[in-house]
Amino acid sequence: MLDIFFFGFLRGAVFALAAFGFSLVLGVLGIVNLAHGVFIVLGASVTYALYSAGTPIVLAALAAAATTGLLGMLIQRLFIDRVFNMHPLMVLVQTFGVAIIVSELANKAFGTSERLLRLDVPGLPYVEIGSVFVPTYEIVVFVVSLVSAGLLVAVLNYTSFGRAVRACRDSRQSAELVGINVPRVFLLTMGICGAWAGLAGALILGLRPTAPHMHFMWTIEAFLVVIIGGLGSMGGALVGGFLYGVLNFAAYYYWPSTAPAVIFGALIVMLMLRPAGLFGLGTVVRK
Amino acid sequence: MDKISMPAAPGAVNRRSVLKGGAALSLGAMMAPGLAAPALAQSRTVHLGCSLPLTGPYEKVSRIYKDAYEFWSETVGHKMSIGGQDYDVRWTIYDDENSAARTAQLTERLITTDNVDLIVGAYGTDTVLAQGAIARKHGRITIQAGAASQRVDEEIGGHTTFTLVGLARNYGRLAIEKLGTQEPKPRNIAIVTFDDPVYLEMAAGIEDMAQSLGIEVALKEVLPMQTQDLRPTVLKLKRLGEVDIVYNCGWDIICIKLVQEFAALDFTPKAFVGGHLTTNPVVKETLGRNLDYVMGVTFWLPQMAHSDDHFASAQEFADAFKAAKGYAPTYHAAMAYTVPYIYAHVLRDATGDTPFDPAALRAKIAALDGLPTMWGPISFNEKGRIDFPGLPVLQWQGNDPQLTVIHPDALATGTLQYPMAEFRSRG
Repeated sequence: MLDIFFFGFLRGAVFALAAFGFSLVLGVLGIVNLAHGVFIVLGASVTYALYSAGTPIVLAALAAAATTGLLGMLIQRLFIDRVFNMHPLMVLVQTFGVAIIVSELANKAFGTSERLLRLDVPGLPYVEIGSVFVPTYEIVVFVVSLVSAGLLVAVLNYTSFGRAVRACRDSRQSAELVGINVPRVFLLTMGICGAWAGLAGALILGLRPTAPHMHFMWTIEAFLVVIIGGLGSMGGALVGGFLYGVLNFAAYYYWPSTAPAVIFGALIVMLMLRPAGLFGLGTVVRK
Repeated sequence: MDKISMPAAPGAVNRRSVLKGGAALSLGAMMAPGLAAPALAQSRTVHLGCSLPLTGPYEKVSRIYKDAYEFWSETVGHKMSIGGQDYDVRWTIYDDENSAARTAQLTERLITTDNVDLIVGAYGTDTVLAQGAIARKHGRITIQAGAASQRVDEEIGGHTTFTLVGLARNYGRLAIEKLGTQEPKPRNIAIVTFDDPVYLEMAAGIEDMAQSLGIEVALKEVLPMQTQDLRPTVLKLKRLGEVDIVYNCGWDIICIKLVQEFAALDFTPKAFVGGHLTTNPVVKETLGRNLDYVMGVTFWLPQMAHSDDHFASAQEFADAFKAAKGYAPTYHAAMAYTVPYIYAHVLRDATGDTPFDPAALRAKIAALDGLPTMWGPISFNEKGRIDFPGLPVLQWQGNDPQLTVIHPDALATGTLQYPMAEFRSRG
């Protein structure tokens, strides 16, 4: 049982990293971004292409994160911004459409095959923790996830941009009244969302096979993590990621043939018992 | 642009002489139809069509099919001889996105709108069944090389579809047979498979074979098709204690992930059979040295003693394919190449005005008796399935792993290395 918890916890780090941006956008813009998974698979595809072309993996991952960050800003400026004040369903439809278009373009550009990299830490491929051998790369992913969560929390809590983000989250009208450039805050928020998701995609390449057509699966997984952790909370997304990782690992260990049903069943129960998640900030979705 | 006129030289061709000549030729053609026929036949075309999952999870393998169909066309100079007349070869290949509904729609289009003369197979059980259902509705036949499931035999085999691939439940038979001869004999086996008819059939065949040899099935793990994380499975294998054989019924990426997780969790079975796709280049590219000792099964290898009308050996075929397409052919390439080859063979001596008559084609294909092809001698049983004794067994060996055929003895180029060296000791 201990190793199931341990490996699930490790896996959860990457789920958390994948969900940070989703949670941020949901919290600040109040929208469910159905194009979120596209950032993840595109991050993986760009990283794979650059790494295959000889770029060091760290540079490739950063370039991928920058690419998806820019894409996020582009989507915000060209699409979401234009329908933001309309019915929330419009944003859902629009982000879904964007997801389909971008993933199809990614299919054409990068191919539709599943991709996987063998990523080891040179000289130290494994570490022994207690009686368990762990690939060092997974420790790296775990640390990156923790550091990036801390970074996001620090930015949100201790910078003027963070204050603007929180102000927009709490009340868009009040933020505008005190002179905050709300469209710019939203633009940067989507940029951060894209960059974090792209980084997650880059790291996932060493853990799970990834392909552009898997974007919607990742959107759903990010959604599930946010549901567990609580809407709009970075800490919640981190804890949600870990819990989802353990739930996912245990489901595939104990009930492999019905694992997806077990996972969704558990989440339905979770929603019934605690609709706002573990660390939710209350109702954040626009009505 | 200036118009340039050139005076006609004495005896040179002018408009009047062309008209005269044309009239004489037409008259001659009417009076001697046997002489005119070859000229008319120049414009005849044989139209082949299919759909393949060119995008989606089977993109790579379906590209091989498409390349092999093209390679056959290039090999025959884009011409097919039917009843002594040359026909230009034309292909229409659609992307069915691995969707059975889309395949049905595209097959309908191929038959009713594109008016294809011959249908070659899709890839995947559900899509092949969908293609076959539409072909059957129109009374057409197909030759397919993309579905190993017994459902194909039961639903469309023989009357509508002829199948070049062997039954899924026989895929692992020879591998287990070979492992069963080791000393000491393996005590148990763990089978990793997926919740899809063809993978379940494969697992059932392996299970039956193991039990018939007295090898206990310690675990049969059925995973959802969308499973990405194999660590829970490998952790379960490790907790079983000593597992002698692990057999992967899944595809190449699953083989890669299993080996990576074996290495990550320091779990080494005595033998690991990576499945029927271990020869795909991505497996060696990703696993490198960890591929050493990994076994696999395959329908086809260049060292096999096959030949056809165009290639004296499988190696010659492999070399030509590599030169044309830029990569070494997998078994899919040889199998797909053979599909239009069979059509060409049975149509060669066709007579009458309707060479593509489905009933006549069906009868000729069903009557094939050991036709030498690049895929081996071709005969079909009453269900339209190729007679296939079992899949040869191979093993990757060495630090820069090289492919070695280990079973059956007639094809063997080396011996089985058993048991497997620990992953952790490989550096």
